[in-house]
Amino acid sequence: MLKINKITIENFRGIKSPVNIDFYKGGRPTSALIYGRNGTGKSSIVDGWEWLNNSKIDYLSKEGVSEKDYPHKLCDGENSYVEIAFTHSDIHNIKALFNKSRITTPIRSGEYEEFKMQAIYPNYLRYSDLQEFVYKSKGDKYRYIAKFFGLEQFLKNQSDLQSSFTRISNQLAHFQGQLQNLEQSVTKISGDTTVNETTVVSFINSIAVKYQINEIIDFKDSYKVKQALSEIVEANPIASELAAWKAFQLKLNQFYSLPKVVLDCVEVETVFNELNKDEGIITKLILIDLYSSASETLAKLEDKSKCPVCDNVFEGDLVKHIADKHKVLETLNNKKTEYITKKDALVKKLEQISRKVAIIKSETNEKVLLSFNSFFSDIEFLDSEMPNSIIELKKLFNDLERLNISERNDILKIDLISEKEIEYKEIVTNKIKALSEDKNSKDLATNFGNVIEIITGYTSYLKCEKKVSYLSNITTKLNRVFTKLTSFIQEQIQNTFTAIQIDLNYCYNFLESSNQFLKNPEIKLVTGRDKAVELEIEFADEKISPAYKFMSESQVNSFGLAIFLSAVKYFNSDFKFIILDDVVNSFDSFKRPKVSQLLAARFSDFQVLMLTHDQIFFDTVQRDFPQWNRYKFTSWDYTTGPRCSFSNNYIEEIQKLIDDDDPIGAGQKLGRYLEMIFGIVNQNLKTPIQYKLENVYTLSEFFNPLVKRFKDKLKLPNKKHIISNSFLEFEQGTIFRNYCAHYKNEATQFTSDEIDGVFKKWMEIEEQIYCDSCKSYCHLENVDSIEYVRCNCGSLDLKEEEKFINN
Amino acid sequence: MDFNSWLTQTKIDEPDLESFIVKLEPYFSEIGFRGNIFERKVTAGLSKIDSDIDELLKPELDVEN
Repeated sequence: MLKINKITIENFRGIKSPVNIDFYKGGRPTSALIYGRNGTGKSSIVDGWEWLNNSKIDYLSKEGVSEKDYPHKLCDGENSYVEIAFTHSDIHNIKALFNKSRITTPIRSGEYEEFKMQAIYPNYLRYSDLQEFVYKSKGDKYRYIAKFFGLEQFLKNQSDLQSSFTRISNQLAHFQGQLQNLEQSVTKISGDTTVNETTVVSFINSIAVKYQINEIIDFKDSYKVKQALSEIVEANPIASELAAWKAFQLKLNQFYSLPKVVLDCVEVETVFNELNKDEGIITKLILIDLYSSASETLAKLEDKSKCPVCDNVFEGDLVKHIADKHKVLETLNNKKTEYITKKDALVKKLEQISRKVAIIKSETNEKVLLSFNSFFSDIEFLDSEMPNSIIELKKLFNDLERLNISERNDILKIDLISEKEIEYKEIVTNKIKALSEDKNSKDLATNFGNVIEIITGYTSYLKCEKKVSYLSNITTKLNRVFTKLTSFIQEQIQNTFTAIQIDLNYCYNFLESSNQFLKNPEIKLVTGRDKAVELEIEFADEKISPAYKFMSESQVNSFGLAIFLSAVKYFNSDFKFIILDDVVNSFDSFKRPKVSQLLAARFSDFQVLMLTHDQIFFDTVQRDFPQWNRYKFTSWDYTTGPRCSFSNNYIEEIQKLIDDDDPIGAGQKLGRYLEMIFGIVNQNLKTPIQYKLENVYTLSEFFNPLVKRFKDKLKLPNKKHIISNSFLEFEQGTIFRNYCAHYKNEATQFTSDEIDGVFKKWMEIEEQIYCDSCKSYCHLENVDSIEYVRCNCGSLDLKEEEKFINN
Repeated sequence: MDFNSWLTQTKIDEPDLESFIVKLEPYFSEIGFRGNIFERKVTAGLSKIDSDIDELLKPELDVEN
């Protein structure tokens, strides 16, 4: 089993001089507890651990902090490192050294790869992580969990495959639509309901026969019919011209209707000119969000006369002032949006016209060109001038001094050409009508046109059909791979959920044992294509999802902590080490000792690095785990980092003061300790205590009701509980009674031996009421109408008969 | 199981997908599935369809042409 010996951090984040956290005591691996107020550098240790593991610190990256800022400012990136020493047959040491020339890639040494094989699940949990996870969306939770369950690469590939699948599917839909249109145009010419080579060839042959052209067998020979027919058409000037006009008619029908644009241009110019008048204010549009936030912030502030940004007092009505400013900018912003919308729509229209111009411009038939001389000269003009108008319109507002495109010749010409639609179409229709008077020529032109159209249409149809088949094949297979991958990921997640479920329930129910209604949390996977995870809980025997409908923040945090602990236990079975950074922060104070008790009950084989800024929790943990190494970060200094000292627990400190013959110090420390313990035990036994308005109690005011409570609750006929004897000896065999009244008074002379007597005797009593296995003092409990005085795990039961002696 | 092992296992479990997965494999990298490169290849496949059909329907070169 991989065990940590020591963590050393130097020149990293808030740490300058080396900080050593030892995980060995008396030749055996142990855990470490660090106490320090906020800002004393505790979290630099967790940051260091994360950096060593992942080369980056996630929450800092999200805040835009670069890796170059990881080393302590005074070291200039030199000798900034995190080093871990282990006890293991193969893994002895790993070290990450900041790499100045490649800041994202620390220089790693030691058995890093081997270490990573053992440390699968991220084993550090900050208070902020807990908050963040619990309030993540369903989808984010899924990604978070999948990532932490070692499925990050699967997840990335899944997401990328899905994106590709969507894009290719869109392409497929486009070609399917195109295929349908081509099918319709081919069937319209052939008169057949189906489109295939036989029907198309049959149609071409039906025309070939009419003009004594050799019939074809394969579509690939259709060019022969087209060529032969073209020669016949060329030999017939009327048919040739008719074919040209018919082809032009098709193009003209696509060209028209042509939208008019002059009015649109005038509208855009009007909005531009209105905006331009406010040129001075428009530069202030960037402040709109600031004014918007200021309005929201002010609404929440009690003092509405002070500017929330500069803290200066505003003379006048600040709320109204900000609201007015905001309104002006909002109106301007709406106008700017209107300008951009109208301008973009106009650009789109002009670009569409440009494309039409390019198509019609390709006409080559001389007779058509001659007849439509003026039209084609306008088209030429548009082709050369319109790009300039589009460029002008696409310029940014700030780059335009004025906008005057409605009078440009190309714009005016578009409207003129648009108005001539009927006139032009009529000319073409008349031309066709006149040329169609000769039926043979008309049929020839029509047949020739149809042959060209069906060959073009069917060729496009063949391409499109192949493309649809090609893309269908890809999307089908891609979808199968994606679906299989999704199932695999979900199966892995579900398997993990199932595997950790027992521990999850245990941890949550343990932390929330005081609440009988909310219990048995579950992580539910939302299956199918939706990638989501939902938290569920049992509320009065009914499953509630999402769980936080009925949960307090503290309960939700218990859920998050339970997930973390159960997952670490499951994944890191070969590296039992966890870092908990201030995780009890949002827990109610009565629940905080539960975290300590949970570690004792379920994680006794784990090494723990516990960081806290809560003095009471620190005392609780050091009381529960006297074998842990304890550190106090007393202050922080820029040039050195945290001032860190090895810390004794209460018991060790009292003993040290007695050994140093400091009875006043020892007595005062013991007094505070007894006050704390009497309080806990009285609370556990629900001892009635006389209420005092001034809330100042002497030790005896806690102690006497405590003794009475034990006596009342531990009764057997003709018998006496051994603890009653202990209390009697405590009161009569020591100076306790006198000490109770005077321990705070420095003038009172107690000897070290007298204090030692009280201390030793109390420790004997504590051994009788404190369970070292589950780290809890005994408490009063009623189960099925039977009253117990026992510890959390039940191994210490004060009502056992052997604990009573004859009177 | 790492991702490559999953691909290998899927080829065994779904033999009819094997050749497709073999084609997909080069696009999986450490940073994920390189969809853009894959889609460019798909587009190249579409262009090839155009040129294949154009080639197929190209008028035969005979003595006169």
